Amino acid sequence: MMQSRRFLVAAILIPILALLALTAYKKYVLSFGTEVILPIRGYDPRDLLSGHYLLYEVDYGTDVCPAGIRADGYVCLQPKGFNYSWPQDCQTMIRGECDLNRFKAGIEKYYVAESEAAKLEQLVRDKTASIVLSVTKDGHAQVKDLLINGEPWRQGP
Amino acid sequence: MSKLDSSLKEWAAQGLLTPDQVQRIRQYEDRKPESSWILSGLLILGAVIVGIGVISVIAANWAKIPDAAKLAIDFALLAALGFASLFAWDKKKSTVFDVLLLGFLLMVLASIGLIAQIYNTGGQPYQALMLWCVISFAAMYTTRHILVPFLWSAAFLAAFMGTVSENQWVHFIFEKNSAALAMAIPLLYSTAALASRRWTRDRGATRAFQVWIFLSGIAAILVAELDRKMTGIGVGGNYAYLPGYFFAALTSIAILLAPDFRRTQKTALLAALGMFVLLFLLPQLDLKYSLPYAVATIGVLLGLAIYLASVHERRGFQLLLILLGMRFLILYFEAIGGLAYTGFGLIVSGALVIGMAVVWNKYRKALADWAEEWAR
Repeated sequence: MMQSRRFLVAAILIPILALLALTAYKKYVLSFGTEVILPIRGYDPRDLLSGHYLLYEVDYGTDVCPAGIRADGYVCLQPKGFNYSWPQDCQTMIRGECDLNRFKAGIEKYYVAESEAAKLEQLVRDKTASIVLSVTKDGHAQVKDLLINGEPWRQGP
Repeated sequence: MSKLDSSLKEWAAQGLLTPDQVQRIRQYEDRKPESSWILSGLLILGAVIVGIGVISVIAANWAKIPDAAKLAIDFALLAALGFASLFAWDKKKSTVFDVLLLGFLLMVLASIGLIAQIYNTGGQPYQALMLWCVISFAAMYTTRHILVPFLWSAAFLAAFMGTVSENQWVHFIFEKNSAALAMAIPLLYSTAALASRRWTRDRGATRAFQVWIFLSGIAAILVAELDRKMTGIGVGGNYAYLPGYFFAALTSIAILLAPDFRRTQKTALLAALGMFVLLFLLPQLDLKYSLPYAVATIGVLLGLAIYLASVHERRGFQLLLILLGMRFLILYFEAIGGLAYTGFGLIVSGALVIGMAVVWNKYRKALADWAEEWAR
């Protein structure tokens, strides 16, 4: 074993502190970001659920990743538009990556408990679904909730 | 009767040990703490079963537990496992420490998954693994046993493969060239092993990296050798080989600067390294004859065998001898071509295999002794 006890204490504290920092950052984004609601549609209508995650495509209301390349991408929500570079004069922006014609911002899946999976899948298929996002000024977006017909899905029918 | 008892009895009967020495050896061995693989395995099995039980209980009620409570339980478990590891270290219980540390690190990985689940982060599994590798890097170095570093290295390999195939900034490097990726991986582990050996000395991490050098090295040699028989692989942009050349340069510098390597060891390792790089240069030179590939592969195996002999790693040395023999056999089959398919060719081949096995079995110890003496 390592001779230094101090090293061992540090080695155990590093992951704990890193995970605490990650949790705090996620909580910060949820608490202090700008709230945005965007409609979603099933990525594959035959299989919305992959494991216990609901996979979907976000409708940003603008044409995203038109060049079909792999690069950083920026969706401006106010005013609507898409850029491959940091957009100027954009009030609310989501930063992500273009994988050819798909824009990925880390908000394309929603965790759902196994017992509720079938119910949610049916709801997303039959009704209008959207996600509530919290977006920071630097474009980091995080999913807050899933809405069915404008209502949080847990309170829905 | 244990293996030690029977050995002591034999050595005493041969007059190599006195009855007093036998008694003292028995007393010394009896006082030593039990650290067998069976005990370690049972402890790990027990820890895994308890862990699965805890997970099952939590999973059954998962949906009903508020997110804040999930996180609180998670961090409490993490802290408890961390504290227990520290306690075992203080009590000098190395096997228990390793089991608890493994539990702690698995809990760190589970925590990343939990945070991703609660906050619906859209990351890929390889990103979670890479995060785990980064934040558990120091913890991996706290153990002398190989198990935790070996698992860490395996996770790192999976995260590395995921990164180079998925990440938009680096995926283009190896996109068209799997041979270049196969070349880079053992060299990356070589750099890590030599750095680890230099700065941490005699840790499980160094041995784990060495095992991965061997495993990924054999895989890389196979890829390189098969490469020449296929078209399309290994002929992508030459920049794909840059990471491999970079790690090869770092490895050679580390070998040259290693203060405790003797000249023979440095020469053997550098020769093996050079031959390994050559193996991946041959397709770029458009050489498709089998002989240069065979020479390069044999050079790699021979260089490593000489190094292992010089550090008295007999099992590794003998394993490399077997691989060398197999490569010679393949060379023979390639050389005689169609004749190998005839009855006469098969008889000669079979006799050659039997002869090599007999010679190896008869002379392996003598050969190891000779190689160790020669590499001194």
